[in-house]
Amino acid sequence: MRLLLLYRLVLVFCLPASVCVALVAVDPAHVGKPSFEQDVYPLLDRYCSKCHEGNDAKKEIDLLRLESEEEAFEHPELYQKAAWALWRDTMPPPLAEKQPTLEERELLLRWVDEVLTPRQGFQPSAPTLRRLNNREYKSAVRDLFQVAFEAEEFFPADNVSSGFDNIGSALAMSDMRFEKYVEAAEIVVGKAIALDSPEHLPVVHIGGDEMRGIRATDSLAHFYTNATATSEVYLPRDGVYRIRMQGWGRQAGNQNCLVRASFNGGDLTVWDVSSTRSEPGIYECEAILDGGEGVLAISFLNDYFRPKTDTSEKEDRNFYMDWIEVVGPIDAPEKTLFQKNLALRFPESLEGRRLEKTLEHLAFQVWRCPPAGEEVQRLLEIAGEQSPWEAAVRRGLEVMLVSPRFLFALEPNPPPKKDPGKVRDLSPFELATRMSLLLWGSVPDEKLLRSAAEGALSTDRGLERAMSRMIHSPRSKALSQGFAGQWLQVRNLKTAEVDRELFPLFTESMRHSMAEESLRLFEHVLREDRSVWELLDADYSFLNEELARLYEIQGVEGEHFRKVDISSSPRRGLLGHGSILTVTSRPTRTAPVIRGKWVLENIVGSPLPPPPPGADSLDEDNAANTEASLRKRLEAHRQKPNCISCHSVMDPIGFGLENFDPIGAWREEADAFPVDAAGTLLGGQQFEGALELVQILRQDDRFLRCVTEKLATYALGRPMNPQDRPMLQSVLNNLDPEHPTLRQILLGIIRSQTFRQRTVLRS
Amino acid sequence: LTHSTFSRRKLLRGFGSALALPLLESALPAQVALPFQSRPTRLVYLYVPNGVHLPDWWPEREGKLEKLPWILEPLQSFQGEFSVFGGLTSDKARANGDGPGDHARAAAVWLTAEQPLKKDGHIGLGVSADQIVAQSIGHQTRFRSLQLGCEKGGNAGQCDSGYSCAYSSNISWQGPETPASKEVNPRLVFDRLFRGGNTAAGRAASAARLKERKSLLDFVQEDARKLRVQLSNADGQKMDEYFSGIRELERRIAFAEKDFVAEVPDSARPLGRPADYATHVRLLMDLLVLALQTDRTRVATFLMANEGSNRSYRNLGIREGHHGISHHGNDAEKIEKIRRINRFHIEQLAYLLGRLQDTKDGAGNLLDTTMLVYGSNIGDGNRHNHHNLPTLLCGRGNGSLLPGSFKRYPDETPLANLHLALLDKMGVSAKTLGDSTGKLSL
Repeated sequence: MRLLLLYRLVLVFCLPASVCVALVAVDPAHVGKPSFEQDVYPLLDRYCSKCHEGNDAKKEIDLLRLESEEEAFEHPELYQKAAWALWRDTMPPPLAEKQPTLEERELLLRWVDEVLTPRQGFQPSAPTLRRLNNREYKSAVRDLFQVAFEAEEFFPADNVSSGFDNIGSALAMSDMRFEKYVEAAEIVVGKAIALDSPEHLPVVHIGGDEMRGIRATDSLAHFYTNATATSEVYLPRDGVYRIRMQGWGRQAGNQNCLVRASFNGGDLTVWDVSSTRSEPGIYECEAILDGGEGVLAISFLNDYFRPKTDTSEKEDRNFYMDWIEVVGPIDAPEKTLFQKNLALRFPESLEGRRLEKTLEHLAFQVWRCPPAGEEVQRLLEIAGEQSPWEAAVRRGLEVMLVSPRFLFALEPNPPPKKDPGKVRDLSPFELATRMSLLLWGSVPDEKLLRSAAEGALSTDRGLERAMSRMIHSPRSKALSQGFAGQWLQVRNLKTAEVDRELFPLFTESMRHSMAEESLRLFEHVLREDRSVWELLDADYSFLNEELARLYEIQGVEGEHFRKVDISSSPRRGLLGHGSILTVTSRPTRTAPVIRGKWVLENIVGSPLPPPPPGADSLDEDNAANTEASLRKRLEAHRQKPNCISCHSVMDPIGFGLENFDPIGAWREEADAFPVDAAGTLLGGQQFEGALELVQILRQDDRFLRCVTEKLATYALGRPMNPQDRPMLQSVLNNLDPEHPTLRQILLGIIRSQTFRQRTVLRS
Repeated sequence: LTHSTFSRRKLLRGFGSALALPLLESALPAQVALPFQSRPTRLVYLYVPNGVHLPDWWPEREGKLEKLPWILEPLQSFQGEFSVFGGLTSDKARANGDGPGDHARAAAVWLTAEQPLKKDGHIGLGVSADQIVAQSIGHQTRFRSLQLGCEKGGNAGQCDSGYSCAYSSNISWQGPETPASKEVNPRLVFDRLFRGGNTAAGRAASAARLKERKSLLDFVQEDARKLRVQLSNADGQKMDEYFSGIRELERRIAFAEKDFVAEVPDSARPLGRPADYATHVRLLMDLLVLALQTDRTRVATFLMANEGSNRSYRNLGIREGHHGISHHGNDAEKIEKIRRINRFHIEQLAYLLGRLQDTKDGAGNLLDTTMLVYGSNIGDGNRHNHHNLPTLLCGRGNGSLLPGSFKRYPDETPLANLHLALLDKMGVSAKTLGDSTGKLSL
């Protein structure tokens, strides 16, 4: 690793800012602990004092106020913060005149790690009590009950913070959300266990005046001619329904009124309506109907009219409908898979203990922790009021699904209360939940809970085995969707605004295809244990026909995705994906600044400070002007001293990707100007076009650090903070320099104290 | 209610179908028997993002509204029903040392008048004006308040310069860390407010469900109590939100048991979320009117689009994103587009005012009893500023408002003063709200 890192050091593109990644590589030639007064303070004075000294210190971080080690020990967080900024290359700023040398950075970090931090002891900061987010809720009920429930549509949106939707402190529980949990539990349990409904209720009751396509007065539909009236109805499931209609005829001629009922175009019956106004009749039929939205139609078939003649009165047969309703489903519902399995597992032969055993088992699964006897008794009390067994189980489950034990990833301080500040190991069940939320975006399965109960998660080996199994389970797709989908922001494709007139290839299905390509690459690298670098420089991708058409790659037909060799195309890895190129563009044009910023934040992991006040609109100012290329216009206005320091870091990266249009198609010209995708990065490296840019990024170890930091944020459900630096560094140190993989990163995180322990905080 | 009173109900069957129109128009009879004698005052807030093009917003002179500026022209027929307020400022939406993020701050501060906490992974704000009212008088209705919006929010990445996405997608805040969630799907709004009440069978089913819910709440409350003592401070606060949810639902159940409210037929149930933006907006507005008319609630907010929204208004032939063109840099073409978007939003407001006016409420109509604030917490979208905010106050507030004029308040008058004044008219006594300095004289 060391050699490799030092070698890379020559190549990293933003030299002054990136060297500290290589710090681990520096041979600690000078052993012995650094001292604050002699080693650290002079460095702070030299490199930080311009902005971080005195009363007007930026961000109120005064690094020069405390002059002795004694005093510094009183404020460890101040120096941890400084070390964190140094380590992440956010400070000193990239364009600062003076940049510390490698050894100097090393010295400062060593003082923090070896002298300062050990004094307070390691205290892993725990995430704030995490509620299952909508994504996790959906997966949990799918995995627990094999129930499809569109939680993301049903619940209010989760608050995204630190780039992810699973940050405990940001996941609020509003009154409305709680109410929806109660309702969701009823819906989910209703789907999990099919029961005969005690009475058959009308699904819908439609008044005659509510039908479409027919005249109505006084809530009565008037069929004066052969006409059809329709109404949309929603049926809860496939099944047998009873259709009831009240109507009557003004009879004439030699037939009664004939009235046909049909559903979604299929005839159900023809009623012979003989009743008359004085005594309307109710007509019924039963039919097997498809669940979901459908159209119910009523047609009058045999209109008859004979004008008045000398010998007879006028004859006019008309039909009138009061209402129609659909009742049911009236057939016994088919038992669900979950229900059948449960009944096999807890057969009637258990007799008196059947319900108790069932509830105990389910509570273990749903609450992710064995329930105490007293809890089982309470469940039994509330569920036992219902019969039969299935109705009681349903009731028990409803309660379990609203309980905080299901909705939150609870890590309560075990009674008796330990001393605040003390660090404790997570219980095996808490650990199992953290793992399954990370790897599956869901709750643990039975096997994982069993491993937890058997103590298998308490060893490194056991953790690794459990993790391997979980990664290879289809459920780990959630990691690519939940983690990669947010890290890479491909989730935003769902709402990306693209001008369809300018970019007709960007269809609704393209949104999905683009996202799929990136998620599949991530999944492939994860499951096949490929090098993380392949995310950046893979010369293959996962394409279907429409993506291949966008990329001008021949021979890919059909909607399905397959691995395709793209080595002869100018695309490599994620930065050639339509997904990322689209979410970093404006609806009508590319936005090189956004692309550059995106790469810095998500690939390099060194976000720039936000723009100074009033600077934000410069980008847009001249965008409509077409007298010069976008590049020339952007270059012209970033010359302002306020802007140049950051834009000279961001913009060249974005320009390097200019051959990709706003939806990622290759282009040689933009707005009638030839694309100029050459650039010079802040460190002086020159490149020509995306391929060379990717090659430079490919040499920059900050990518590994960035992926690790993002994954750890997602894994812990909280933003990384200065205290996490040693953990992150240790994960990085344990990567195989020749072949770093996502697995190694995940394992490093899962094995860390931060993941496996928590600090007991004051109640 | 009898069926015969639903005169034009058949129109409703068109909902959400390919035509998507007509909307909830006349879902209810003209007369609804409400469970109270006197007509209550309602409070509604409507928010539009990215500021407006102010030169086409301000009327020429103060005093009685005469010739309306271009953007406000769609309100021509409501000339005597609304006022334009100038000079109002939202200081807490300014950076005040927190750097960029004006969009996130704008939405968050509009009704809270508190500086949002800018800290990675954290949320911290205040309680919004509508929620103060909801918490104070909301117990009089089945729902304390209603929060609607057109965009769900929750995109990946940073929403606005390091602020949590919660800020730019919520104007209603139940607590400093808890946005009062909003609903964007018309069908779900309908189900929550109205479903199952119009048939005897539906009512019987809901009564049975209420009873079961009560014992469920007892159970989980005990669970939560036991756990609460084992949690640290921050975790405990999350659990307190959970308790608040329990209490509110308990109140609702108790209310439903004794309450008579006007029922809405299930046949009015919308099918889902219309793809067309204007239809979506109007459908939600219909539901809002219906909620007020049937006294489901007296307080509502409606976020027409999340703050900073980059929606393309293709229905207006505008292909670029709204946020992008709001930074128009004085480009004439962009200004033209931004004006049209602003006016389009006002057309939607006109639709809502029309619906309120057409809805009978006692001897008058719903617009008479409503106070509706329409505005943005960004003034000039090009500059991201937060003073001289575009603000309309519509309706007559049960006789407590005298609409029909353009008033310019002194510069830097806190917008919160308007909130405070309206709170007062809602019968909620609050001495201050955020950075308020007193009640605005209306």
